[in-house]
Amino acid sequence: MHFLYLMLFSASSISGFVTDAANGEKLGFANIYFEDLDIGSAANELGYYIIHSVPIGSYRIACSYIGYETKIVPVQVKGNSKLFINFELEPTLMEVEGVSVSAERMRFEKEVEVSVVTFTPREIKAVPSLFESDLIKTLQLMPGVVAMHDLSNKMYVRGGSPDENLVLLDGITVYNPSTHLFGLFSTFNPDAVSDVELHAGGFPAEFGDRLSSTLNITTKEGNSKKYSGAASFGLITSKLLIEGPIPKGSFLLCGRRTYFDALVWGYSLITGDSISLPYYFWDGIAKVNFNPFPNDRFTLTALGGSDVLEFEESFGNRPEEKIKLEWGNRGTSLRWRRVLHPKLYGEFIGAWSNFLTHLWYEDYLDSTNNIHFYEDITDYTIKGDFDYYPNDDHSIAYGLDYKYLQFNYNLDATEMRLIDREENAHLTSAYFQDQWSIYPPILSVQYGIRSIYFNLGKKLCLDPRIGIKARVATNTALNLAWGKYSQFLITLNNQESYFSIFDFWRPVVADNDIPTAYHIIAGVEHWFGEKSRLTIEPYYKKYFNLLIPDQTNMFFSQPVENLQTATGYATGVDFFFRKDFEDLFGWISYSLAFTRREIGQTWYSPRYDRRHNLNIVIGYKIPRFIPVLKHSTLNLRWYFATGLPYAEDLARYRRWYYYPYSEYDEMYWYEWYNIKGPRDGHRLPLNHRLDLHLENNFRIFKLNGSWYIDVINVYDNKNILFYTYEPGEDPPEKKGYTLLPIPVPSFGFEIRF
Amino acid sequence: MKKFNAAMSLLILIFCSFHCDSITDTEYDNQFNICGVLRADAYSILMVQEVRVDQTYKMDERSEPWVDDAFVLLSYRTQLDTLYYYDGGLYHDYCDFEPLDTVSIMAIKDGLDTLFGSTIIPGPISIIHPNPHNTVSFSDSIILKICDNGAMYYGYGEKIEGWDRLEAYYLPEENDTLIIIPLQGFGDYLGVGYYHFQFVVFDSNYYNYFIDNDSIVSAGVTGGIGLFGSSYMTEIYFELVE
Repeated sequence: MHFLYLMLFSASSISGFVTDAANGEKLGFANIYFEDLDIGSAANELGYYIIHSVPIGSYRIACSYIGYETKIVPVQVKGNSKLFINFELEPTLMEVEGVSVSAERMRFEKEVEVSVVTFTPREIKAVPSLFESDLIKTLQLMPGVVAMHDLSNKMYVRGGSPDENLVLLDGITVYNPSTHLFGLFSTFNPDAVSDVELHAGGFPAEFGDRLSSTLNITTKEGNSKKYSGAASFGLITSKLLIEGPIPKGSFLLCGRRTYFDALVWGYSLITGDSISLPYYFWDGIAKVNFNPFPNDRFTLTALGGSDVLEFEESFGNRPEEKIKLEWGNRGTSLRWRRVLHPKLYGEFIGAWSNFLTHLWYEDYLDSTNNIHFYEDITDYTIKGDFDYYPNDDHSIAYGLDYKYLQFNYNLDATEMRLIDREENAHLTSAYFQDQWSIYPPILSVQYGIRSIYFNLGKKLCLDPRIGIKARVATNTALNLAWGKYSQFLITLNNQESYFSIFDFWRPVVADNDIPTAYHIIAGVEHWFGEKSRLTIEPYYKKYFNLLIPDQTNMFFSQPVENLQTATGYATGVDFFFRKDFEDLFGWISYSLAFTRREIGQTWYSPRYDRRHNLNIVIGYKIPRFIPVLKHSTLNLRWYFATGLPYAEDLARYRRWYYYPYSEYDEMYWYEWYNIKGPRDGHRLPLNHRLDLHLENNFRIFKLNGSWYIDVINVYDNKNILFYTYEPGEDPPEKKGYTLLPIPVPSFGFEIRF
Repeated sequence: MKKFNAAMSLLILIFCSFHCDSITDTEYDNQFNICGVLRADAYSILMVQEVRVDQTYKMDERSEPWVDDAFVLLSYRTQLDTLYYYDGGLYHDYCDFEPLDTVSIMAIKDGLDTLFGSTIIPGPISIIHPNPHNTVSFSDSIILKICDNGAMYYGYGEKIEGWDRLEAYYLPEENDTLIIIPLQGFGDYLGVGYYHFQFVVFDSNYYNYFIDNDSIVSAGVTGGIGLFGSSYMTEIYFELVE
């Protein structure tokens, strides 16, 4: 204790937060340094910084961040003083695409980490998209992340299926992030997002319970300086965001809804046609920040959303029956962040997350036929995370995490419950990790361990993790990471299907071994100046005890009770090059990947095993001398990838039906059947596609705004999703089907106030 | 310039490998496709045995209506019987199979792999109740004795003077020794009168191919696809009264 006391209280230090002066948002990874001393630090992802061992004297301390004016503050340091200095940085007039690069460069300087990509909302919006900018579709352009098809909204990360990704939004675990429009849009409204951080592998001990990746999304804090907002109108959705200050804090409200149903309804009123589109989705995020004291910050986040499909069957004008299907994510988190001591930063989270599915069938003529099916997963989490900075060489994180999980599956008839299944699970985790600068800034190591106790089967897992970073040159680092990962929840629907509305989650039952993966990643990261970087990361991931549903439906996955135990591996190399000039920015990502699974003695490549995946994203600021398009940005995305494996129809045959004792002549008859090859015997043709996004900023009635046009599949390439053989001809005609048969335009505009 | 060349070489290599991985397995050789269910029954010694002989076709190949130039041979006990081409893809001959005979088939044709198949004739079925031509009531049951190698039982009845027809399937459990079929189990279609019932037992090849899983492509054959199975039939007449 005495030692701890000495470490905590014996030296002068300066700590505080870095925020944006315009809206109060945190600025993670800002650079803080003394102008007249050779010491400094970088803020963490929450904007918190600490500089240890500051000698007595008078100095000028500076805080800089690309895209913001550097702020310099004079300080007087006395013996054993603990100074708390917050920086509020004013944005410059310079465009802010560079901000993420700056933050990434600081991460390169400060962190021991591999396979991390970060995004800002601006980058998400810059990527061409179908109808609606989407966070997960942007992440699919990253190395190691594979999309199954042109409209897919699921992430297959380094050979892992989507249910192996941990998705967190402000501490809320989101179990079905890609549910909108039958899995085509994610549940995250980009307008409300502040930061996105994807660990594609080798993630540290503070994250757990998934085998492949973590996606950590942080929403905006809400503008604490002034009231502001934005309204945007697209082809299928409208969005509204309002944010502003409250006493000692800020709030943010954000929502969106599709209006195809309303447009079709309006059209039917005008034309008199009886047409309808009985589907819509909505989602919203509400957030309140409250800072009652300088060292305390409370944040309440609420997330909600639903997809609703509702239609009536009528006989003439008389409605006879109604079917309504509704599903969606809901969640709440309350976070209390407290600077317990300049060297000790704590965050306490209580979170509730729920994914609920309802199906109602109502028979207007005979109510005894009515049924109500519902299925849900509920996650109650209590968590404490601590960051302890004892000195410049160590950055320690530790924490405790308890989850209570409920799984319900019910079917109610009018007066009776036909199915009533409830399962519960408790998951208790503790972790410790230390980032140790052994020989700064050349050699650093991050080691840690996560222990998890799972009550079903009373299983205890110890998952060690280690990362090593060697700065072999000022701009070059070699990274190595190894770790063990365990997962305690699985999905009952096969993750290889092209479409799924949502996943059916269940705990791993006591009889099954815990699905486990080992990651090993060796990478090199090189910076070309301050604004361009190249990473090359070979990786190998070994799987054990995977539980895979015994169903291989290509189109829609459905839950099944039969699970097969599988092993497997995923290996490959990811290349990522990101560049940021003043008028030209973008990235190139390329992945070479091999994914194999073994069930029984049979090895196969799952349907998401895309061997090569190349994405090129380029943004170009159109010169101002071009009329009409001045203040415009043109973004292009080109995609080129190997086709997915599939079971080709090799041959056909008459399947004869025969009953030998029939007294009639027609005792033989047949149907044509096809003989399929191995499930991964063939690959679909190469996929490629060019998308375009043109955005123009304007000012009208003292308001800023922008309009945009997107065109997906500009040169009309047919990316084949599947083949069929058309019967009726001999030989049958082979026909390929695509999801984007024509170039698809969309447009919209936004007004900011 | 060297860096540029190296980068271009790498790019060309990568793009070539995109194509190399497109197709991994395109070979397929056509095979025989047969459908034969051999018959034995309690009342006939020699019966016509038929096997339909067909083949598979590659997806881009025109199909022929049947195969008429194959050599088809049956062997059982110590006998060899060549089946002769009859019509419409059917090959037949008279054979006298008995329950529990193991019958093998071989089909040969140029350009196709030789097909082999095997089945064990199930049977015999004994009808324990009722006795032939007896009188039974609606509340009565038909009782059969389980036979060897039977995977599925099928009952088919019809009224001698009338249009009433009825059928029922029965899948025996592992330790069953009797099959009890209540006449009420045939539904409400039974009326009083004189009835003719046939009971057929099929082997596991037939059951697997037609009933258990219609996605399997072969049952009882190797070197080709299709079904080579067998059956045994018995029959009874009785009168149904109130």
